[in-house]
Order: sequence, then structure tokens, then C-alpha cells
Amino acid sequence: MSTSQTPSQLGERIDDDIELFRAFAEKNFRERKTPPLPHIVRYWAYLLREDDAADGLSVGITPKASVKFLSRNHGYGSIRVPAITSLPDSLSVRRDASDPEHAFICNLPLLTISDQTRASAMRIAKELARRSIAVTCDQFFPL
Amino acid sequence: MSKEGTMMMDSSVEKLTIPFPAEIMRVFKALERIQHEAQKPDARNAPSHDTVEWAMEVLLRVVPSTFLIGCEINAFQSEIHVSWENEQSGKSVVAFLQKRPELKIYHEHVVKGEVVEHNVVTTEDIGDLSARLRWFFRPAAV
Repeated sequence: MSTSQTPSQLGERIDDDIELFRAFAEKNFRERKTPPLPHIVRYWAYLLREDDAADGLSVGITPKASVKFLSRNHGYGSIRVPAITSLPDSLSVRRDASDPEHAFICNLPLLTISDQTRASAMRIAKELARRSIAVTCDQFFPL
Repeated sequence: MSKEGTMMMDSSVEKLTIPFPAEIMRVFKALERIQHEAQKPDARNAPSHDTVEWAMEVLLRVVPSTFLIGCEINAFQSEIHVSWENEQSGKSVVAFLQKRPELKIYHEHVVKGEVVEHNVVTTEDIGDLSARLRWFFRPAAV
């Protein structure tokens, strides 16, 4: 199951310092910690799946939008746009032309192309996870 | 020797020859869970039965088996990822299993928030994983 419902059209680039939300589609996208330690985001949350290669990694401009296409979730995390675009990997964030509350992280490498892209995909996914905040590890039911 | 005595000796020998059986059981259970999840009709990740068996074989050949303590096993698409992370040392290792006899190993070292070393190697020598884990578990030089 892809996190985006249908092939989407990439819209305008987002360069503002806004917060984006990434749904935890799977349990291992995040790790619960015992308080007072904060929960953490894991690298799987930022690995691009083959199904999503055409547009990019799905993110929401709102928490609600981040979980919109998931039948269930394990919470969500947040990351700011500059934390993504400041990496030396030509990543960009683009709006979904068909949904103003939805966006994509573009130019993420796929694991499966070569060992070089696998190394880049892992380094980037781990770095984005470190730059993210796990907002909740509980299932999020938007109102 | 009585039957009871033989059973006790067998049990003791087993403890000596299969170190950390609880960890090995955990690994098996994690792989069983992956296989079970993969059979669901809406599975996001579906490694094949061969991939699960390949992962089992690779992990059983990690030496010493104490290296398995703390590893995390997850599926990603058709692959199985076995990962080790240490926040204090900044080191991490991920073994990617998909097609026998191939094994891919990623390692990363983060120092003061910066990635100072990272790479992926493809190998058919299972011993390379144990070698990389020796690096992972090696204490930092003072």
C-alpha cells in the first residue's frame, strides 16, 4: 500500500520554514522511550519505497493530511523544511498539486538502484530521522 | 548413569554449545513474525520464504552469537533489515538480506552530530558481518 493514494502531480516548491508531518505507517518507523526520554523517529520512516518513487516521500502540511491515505497509523513525527533542504543531497519539498495539505520530499534515492544509492539512502534517512521529532507513537485519529 | 543424570548432562552441554539461546529464540520469533505478516493480503512488506531462511542462516552464523543481543529485525519491501545502533558510540550497522548468497552491509559512524564514515558493501562471505560487528562493538579508543 502506497502512502499516496494515486499518482500525484508535483506542485510548487516549498522553501518556507514550515513544519511538515510524516505519518508512522509502520511500528518500526518510531521507537517508544521511557519518559523523560523523548520517543525517537527511526530511519525506516524516511526510506523511499518503490511505489513512491515517481513523486517522492509523502508528508502532510498538517498531521491530519499526513495520515490521510493510511488505513491505520502508529502516530506521526514532525520535521521542518530547512532540516530537509539543508542536506547536501539536492532534496526538495514540493506541494501535491491535487491536495494543498499534502506534499512530497523529492529526490530521495532508492535503496535498490546500486550500493552507492543504498549508502546515500541510508545516510539521508538516518539524518532525517535524527532531525525529526516523534510527536506521538499512538494511533492518530484525525477529527 | 541414570536416565535423569543423562538428561541433566545433555541439558548442561546444550547450554554450553548454544550460547544465549534466548537471543536466538528472539531472532527466530522475529523472522517468524515477518513471514506471518508477509502473508497478509495488504502486507506492505513481503520478504519471500527464501529470504527469511537466508536471514536465519546468516544470523545463526554470526560469531560470537552474543553479537545478536540488541539487534533489531524488520522487513522493508522484499528485504529483511537487521540493525544494530549505539547512540553513545554513534555507530550503526545494518545487514540487508534479500537473495542468497548475497549480503549487503551498511555501516555508519556519527561523531558530534556529523557522519564521519558510511558505506555499503556487497559480499557473499557471511563472516564479513561478524567482522563489521567487531568494529561496532569495539570500544572507542581513549
